[in-house]
Amino acid sequence: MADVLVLENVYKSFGKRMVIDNVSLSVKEGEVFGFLGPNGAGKTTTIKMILGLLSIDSGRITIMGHDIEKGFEKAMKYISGIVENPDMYGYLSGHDNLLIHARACGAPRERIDEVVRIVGMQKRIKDKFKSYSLGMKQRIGVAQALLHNPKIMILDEPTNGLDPAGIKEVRDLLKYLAHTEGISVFVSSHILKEMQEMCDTVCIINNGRILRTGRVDELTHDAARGLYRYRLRPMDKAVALLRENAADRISEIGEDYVDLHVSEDEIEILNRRLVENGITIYGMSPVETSLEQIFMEITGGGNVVD
Amino acid sequence: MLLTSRYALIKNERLKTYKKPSTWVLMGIIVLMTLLDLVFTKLIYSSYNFIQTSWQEQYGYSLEGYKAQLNQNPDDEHTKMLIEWTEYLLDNEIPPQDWRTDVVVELIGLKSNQQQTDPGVKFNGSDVYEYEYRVPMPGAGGGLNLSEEQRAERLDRLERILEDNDWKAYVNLKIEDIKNGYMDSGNPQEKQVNIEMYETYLKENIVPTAQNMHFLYHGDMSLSLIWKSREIESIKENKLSLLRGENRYGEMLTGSMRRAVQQDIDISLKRLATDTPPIESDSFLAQLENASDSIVLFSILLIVYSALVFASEYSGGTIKLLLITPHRRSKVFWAKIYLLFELMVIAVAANFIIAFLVSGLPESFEGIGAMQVFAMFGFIFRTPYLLYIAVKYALMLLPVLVYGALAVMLSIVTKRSSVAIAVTLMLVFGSQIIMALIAFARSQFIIPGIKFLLFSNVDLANYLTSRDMITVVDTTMTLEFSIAVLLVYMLCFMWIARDSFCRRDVK
Repeated sequence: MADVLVLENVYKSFGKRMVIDNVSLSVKEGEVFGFLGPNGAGKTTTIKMILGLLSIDSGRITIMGHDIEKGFEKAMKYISGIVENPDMYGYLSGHDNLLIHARACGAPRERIDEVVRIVGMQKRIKDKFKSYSLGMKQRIGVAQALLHNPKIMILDEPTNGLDPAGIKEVRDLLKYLAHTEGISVFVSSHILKEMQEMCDTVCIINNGRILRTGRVDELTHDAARGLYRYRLRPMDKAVALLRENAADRISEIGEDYVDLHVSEDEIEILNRRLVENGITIYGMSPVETSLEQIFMEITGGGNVVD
Repeated sequence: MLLTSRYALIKNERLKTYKKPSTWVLMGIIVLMTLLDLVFTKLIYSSYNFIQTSWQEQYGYSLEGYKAQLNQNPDDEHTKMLIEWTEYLLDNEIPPQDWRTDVVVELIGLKSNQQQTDPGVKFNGSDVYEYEYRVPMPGAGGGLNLSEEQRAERLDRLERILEDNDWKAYVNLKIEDIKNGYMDSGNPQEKQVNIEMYETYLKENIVPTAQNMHFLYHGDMSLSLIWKSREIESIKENKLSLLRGENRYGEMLTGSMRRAVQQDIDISLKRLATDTPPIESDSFLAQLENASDSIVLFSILLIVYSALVFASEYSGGTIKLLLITPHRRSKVFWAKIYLLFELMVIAVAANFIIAFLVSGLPESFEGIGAMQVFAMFGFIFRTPYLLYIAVKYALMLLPVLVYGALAVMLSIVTKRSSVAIAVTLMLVFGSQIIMALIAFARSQFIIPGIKFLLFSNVDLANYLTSRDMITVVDTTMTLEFSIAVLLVYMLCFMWIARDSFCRRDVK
């Protein structure tokens, strides 16, 4: 699959403060790309640079092969996005707001009705934008981003402020766009659970640096390598024994389980030792880690959600 | 493609502008201001006409005054004579602007045998107002220095002139006076100028008007009767100014003031040669011309609006959406600027059309084809008066454009409409006060470089209407200079605004 968006060694600083420090990533056609990081990690700054709202100190950003600094007009034909909030002209109707954007992007008028149908806003489209709920505004925002059939859509925290039903709607919409319409979706969030459920690839960023990039399934699988959940009896005796002999292997101690890091070679020895000490192993399974856990591990448990 | 994309952006700005409630509030206020301005002007004119009495009535009041004076002081010869001659003017229906008034005044002076000490106020141009009705000064004989014999002869001659109603004889008498040195008319060159004036009356067969302000009355004195003699007098005054090197306010003629005086003479000559009378001050065209003043009022609103147009995109967050479209930022910028310009044109057109209809309809557009003579860029133009008004509008709009550009620049650089509005309005209002002070101090000293300041150059209509350049801060300034300075300022403001808009990070 071709790369739709590529960032190569991008740097950005505000005054002396380095906000984006050597960021490189690429987004492939038709994938949902999650851009993960705590608040203040540099997500919005990166997005603004991709959309040409901020200048780049050094490095290169290309969209469909067009450099956004040298070929801004060409590059912008393939990209759309919502930055921070879906801000539009409150005194205009949703339709007029879309009309403005359609004209600016060179999209035909008929496309407005299409995108309104996609986001399901037919009934309220003639109402003033300021009368919409946040969810509706978000939907109009997505409609606006769809107008000129972009190759890639950038969404900055699209689920912010939405209720669970709204979040599910957005998630389904993005999946539909990426997997059915073939539009790459670059979505940033600090809510990891959502990302895990809707993204194909994630990139974790903190303090302006990329910490890890990879496919969600690979990442979660990789991290899970060597972590096993043991169900032991008697529990207190087992915990005491493990603490005494293998404290560094303990990942987590639950009410009736212990998560342990062990390599495949070590499993046999560990199991034998436990049995020798009169402990029954009545359950043992590899642990599927969530993105959240990976994130906590990588960022050292920084302010994930605040 | 290039054109259509530009047009698409302009259409967007148009949609945003014309569906914005504040645009219509702005337009409403502008229409209202124009109407109020017109109505007030009309009211002032009509009340002015209402309180006006005919000259006969005013002479009647004076007569009562003299008689009361005589009662207190029965031996006052002078008052007796005033009564006599006022009655004479009334009986013979000699209106105040009639040249015979001068003869009468001189006769009073001669008979009372008192030398005139007060030079009187010269009637010059249409902008001199004198509401107070004045009593003839004792001995208003023009400073003649005559023997008893000469006096008797002159009395006789004047009375004959009056009897025959022979203005040519009176003009000839004046020429003789100058030649004989009876009248104090300065050095030989100045004498020549005075003689030339009287000779022009004879040559062009133009009846002079009364120069004596003592009997001056400001009622229904139609300009059409007296404008020619006024132009002739004005030519004389201006020629004397050039000879003396100072204007009639006693100010040194330097730089462009000299050129302005020379142009003033050329305008008068052109008026006379082409028979182009000035328009009456209460005519439809004059009202229309006055309405252009309300541009100054509503330009402030346009400035505020310009500042808001850019700042609101930043504060509303819509700037992001505006800038992620596939257009270079400069195109977006110019589309917005274009629309501000369009809005200004609409506002001015609305002002003009309303003024045209409101002032024109009651007068059935009478005198719409009148001509005007004016000086611009060192040339004398004779054009339809409507075109002259258009030129005046254009000159008044240029500073609005400059201030608008300043407001736009400030609102982009600071991203705060409040700063932009405050600074620009401070300049607009502050400059008027500063300029007034500088113009006042001009005769004492000239501050170097002050002519390059923005606010020294904003009053362009001044160059057209003020014939003496009395309000220009530096007399080396000309209309073309001011236009150039304004354009340079505007280009600088626009360049900074555009550059800042195109470079600025949207945080």
